[in-house]
Amino acid sequence: MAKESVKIKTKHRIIFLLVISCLALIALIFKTAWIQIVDSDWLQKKAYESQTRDRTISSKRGTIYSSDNTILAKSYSVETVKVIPAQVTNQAEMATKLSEILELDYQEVYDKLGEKVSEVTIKDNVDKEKTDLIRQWILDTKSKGIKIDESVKRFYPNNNLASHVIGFYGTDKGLYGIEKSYDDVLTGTPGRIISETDGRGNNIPFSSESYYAAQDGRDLVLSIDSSIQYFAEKYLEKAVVDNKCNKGGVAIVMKPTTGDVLAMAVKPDFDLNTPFGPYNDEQEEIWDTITSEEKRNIRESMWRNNAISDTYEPGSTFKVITASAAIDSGKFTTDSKMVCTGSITIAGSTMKCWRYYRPHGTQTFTEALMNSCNPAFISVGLAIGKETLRKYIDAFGFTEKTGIDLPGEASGVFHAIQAMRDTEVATTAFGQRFNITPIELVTAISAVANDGKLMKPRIVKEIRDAEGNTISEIKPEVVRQVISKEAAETVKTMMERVVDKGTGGNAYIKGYRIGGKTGTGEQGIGASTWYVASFVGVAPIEKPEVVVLVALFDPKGDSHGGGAIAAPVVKNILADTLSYLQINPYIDPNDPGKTTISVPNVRGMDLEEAIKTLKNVGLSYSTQGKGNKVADQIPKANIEVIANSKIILYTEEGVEKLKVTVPSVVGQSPNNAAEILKNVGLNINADGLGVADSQEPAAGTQVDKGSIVNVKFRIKEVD
Amino acid sequence: MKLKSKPFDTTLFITILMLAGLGIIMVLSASSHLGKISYGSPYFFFKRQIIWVAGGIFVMLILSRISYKIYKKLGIFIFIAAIICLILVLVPGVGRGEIRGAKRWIDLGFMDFQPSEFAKLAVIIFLSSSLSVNHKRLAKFWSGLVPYFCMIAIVLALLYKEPHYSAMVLIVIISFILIFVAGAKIWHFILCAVPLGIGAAALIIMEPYRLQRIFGYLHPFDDVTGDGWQIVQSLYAIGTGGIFGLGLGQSRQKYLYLPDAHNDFILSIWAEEMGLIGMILIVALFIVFIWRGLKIATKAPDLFSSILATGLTMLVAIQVIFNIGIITNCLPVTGMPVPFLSYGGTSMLLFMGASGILLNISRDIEKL
Repeated sequence: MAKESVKIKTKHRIIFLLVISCLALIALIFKTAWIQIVDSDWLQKKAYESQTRDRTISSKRGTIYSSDNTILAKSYSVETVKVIPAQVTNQAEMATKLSEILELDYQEVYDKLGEKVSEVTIKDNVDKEKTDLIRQWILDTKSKGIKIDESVKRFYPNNNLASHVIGFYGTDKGLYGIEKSYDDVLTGTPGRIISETDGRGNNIPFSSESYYAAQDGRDLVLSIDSSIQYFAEKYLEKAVVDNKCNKGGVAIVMKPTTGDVLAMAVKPDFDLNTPFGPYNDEQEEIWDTITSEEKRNIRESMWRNNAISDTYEPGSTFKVITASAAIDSGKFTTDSKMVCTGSITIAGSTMKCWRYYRPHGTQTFTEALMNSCNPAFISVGLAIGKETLRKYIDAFGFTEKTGIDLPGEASGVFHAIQAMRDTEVATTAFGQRFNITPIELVTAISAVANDGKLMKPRIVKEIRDAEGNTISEIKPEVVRQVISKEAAETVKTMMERVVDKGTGGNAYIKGYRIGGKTGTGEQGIGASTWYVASFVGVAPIEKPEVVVLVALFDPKGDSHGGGAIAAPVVKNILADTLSYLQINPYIDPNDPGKTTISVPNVRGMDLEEAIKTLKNVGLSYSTQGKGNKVADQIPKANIEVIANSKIILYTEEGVEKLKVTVPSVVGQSPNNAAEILKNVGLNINADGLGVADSQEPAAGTQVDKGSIVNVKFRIKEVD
Repeated sequence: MKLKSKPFDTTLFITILMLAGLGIIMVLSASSHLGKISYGSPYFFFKRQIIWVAGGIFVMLILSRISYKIYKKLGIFIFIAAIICLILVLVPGVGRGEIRGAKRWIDLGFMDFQPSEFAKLAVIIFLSSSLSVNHKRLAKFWSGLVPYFCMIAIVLALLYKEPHYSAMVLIVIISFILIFVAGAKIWHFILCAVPLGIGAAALIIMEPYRLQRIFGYLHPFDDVTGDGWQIVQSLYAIGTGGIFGLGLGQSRQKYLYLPDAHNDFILSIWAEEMGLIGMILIVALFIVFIWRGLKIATKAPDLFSSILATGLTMLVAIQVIFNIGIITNCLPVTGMPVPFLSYGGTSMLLFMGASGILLNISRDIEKL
């Protein structure tokens, strides 16, 4: 065989291969170095995530309490016992144990364990004590196939109560209200167990396990008082229905000295346990037929907290602010004289007083507020000037958010100061052509009630741990001194006159000194105009404990005036709240018209003695019969009547009572009504001011002579 | 057959021993968990690897004493034997049937034999033998090159039936290298590139899962739990290693995260435990191997031994380059064990055998 020599070309080609191979290997070393140096950190991190099993220990979400310790929102865990039948090796034994612990029928459990399904639920909502027993049994017997799933449910025991304040919880976070704004605090920190596992999920022998305990969420104590919230919701709900308020209503009760929101009611409301609707029977019927877009709109308008998220035109309630500015700036006193001619013309546009048909004439500043007289306030506004007016509006916080701890707060919208001509100054002075939020108004009026100090509204007072220890307290916060203490006192007395003698009479409560102001704002223009009837009340005026604002949106009933329909709501809320807060009424002995006398028991007395007893307490009498011993009396003992009511005394046993027909007094003034009833021998129990609105018993009813007719009076005029 | 007493290339020999020794350590570390889980002993693979290495060294020493010249005569028979084996593996009852989607093994009783590994060696020997005789005809495309292409095509067709694509790629590259070294014209290669490109495209269109493999290779993190799994786990291992590594035996990825951790991906585990330093060491040893091997090729006494030495050395070089390319995500994943390091009998015997031949050639060189 010829020996073939190795040619130079072949040698060169081999050297070429050597070079290529070495270059390739060196390039690969660079690539490796890149992975091991540049990419190392994140690869290492990802590798660790993949190599370890990270089990989360859920932290318990905190409870939300009202200030009176009522639970408003609470989480509880439920456990579900499931079985993977394919893994079960000891069917009979397991069925015995599970049926015993879970109190189920043995045969039923046994059958379930044999089912040809991937997973079968044995029991839902199982207590932890029982699942712990099962867990122990699994450990003891090394049984396979049982799965215990834990899930946490959020529960709102009071359903609709304070729904807009509390908000609600979605699958993993708070979505609205306190649940949202305090989500981090309520959530706590979930714990973790990190263990090293192999690719099939088994623990690696001799590897370590890191355990990080869960930090349970904190509990919150709100400033909301569940009782006051309930009062506010009850009366607001009734007013919204009675007055056919298409756009619902808002009621806020604030403690002026701290800024605590004691109640914040928004209607319509919803059950926090079923926040996604449908919200009423009507919606339930169509719910499946409407688009998800429509559902979303319904939900969003339902969830919206109108008390903080929406602005409205305040109307005359804002005159309190104008009055505060006028008094504090020193330009006006309570006795400053002003004239109402029924209308006033500013820069060519004529603005009417609400009582243009019967102008207020010359009045003091106090009377102007009492009368809610627009021309008077226009002159006040122009006199103090736009800069001063605007300075006070800013100081009262209307041009900024109050900073309440709730999501979605809006702030007031005013004319830019440069754009304010006299017309705008005029309308601003009596509360029109600008928008504010209900919370801004109640906070500002609270500043007047709180010696001129504006407080930041407080809704969460305290953060506690699960054991009830205080973690942190949220202290009341003074924003600024808006007006002087003296000016505040003056404005308070002016507000008291509004309720005492003015347009706010429907908020009057016997025995309390209450200040307030009515308001009727307009929204929209032309045919789509709708009204906001509102009333803001302060009580007791000498030492204010609560400020209440009620605003009714788009009332379509008899009246849309704040004094007519919102003031009675404030009155009812105040009456219940004051009595709940144990602020007792004070009866002025020099105010006979508003004083009642408890009828003494004179039955069985000698006639002379009975007459003397009645006279002593200020009651008159008439007798019926010929005896000289009182056999019966109308009204009965202990019934409250007004002074000089006539008590009918029957002096013979078994005598038929005298009957009278109740006349109608509806539409009468208090004095006339009392007179009409007195003429037929009936007594009056009057409530409220203005004209008689309703009576009980109704006209035409036959009653015993001397009986009491309850008459409710209301002021019908609007401002 | 006469025994030679001239010394062989000790540098090459020691390099091989070092690689095989390191391989045993790697297999022990990488396979202990799998061995324990699957066979009840952490030393299951380790013990077997020791046997393969010992057997491999034995075969290497034997072959280093058998004159390479006999392969020149036996070349065509070895080639035919390899083709028969490749056919047998597909015959039901003879081959072990389908394992992980491929028919690659014949059960010899004491070991599973992979004809495709043997075919690599057979093609090298056959080509060296034939090319050294016919190298003058190589200048002609049709009469010189095409007959070789046809014969190689037979092997490729059989490998395609298994299928064993990495072996196909390897045989194609090795064949081209040998034809190139034997002196074929460069532009003939360019001419060949056209049908090869068309062929590759056809393969991809016929079985689109290959395309997925390629996509998985470009973006392994897009499909961590699917196609990207193996390469992502490999990158986790290499990246975790850093410069100095976690320390011998400290790999975490070997805990069933990285499939084939003791086999095709053994260097990933090595990189995790020994870091960049360890990788440089291994690559350096292979560079030494390639350097010595190709040096033997250039100094070989005749064209046959030169081509043969080139083929045997480049077989190792290509497998190493491919393997590291795969584990570092430079190339798509195909089964490509690392010579001398990966667990497995056929591969070990193949490379030890190849090294034995290489050593024998080195005996014929006066001054290396």
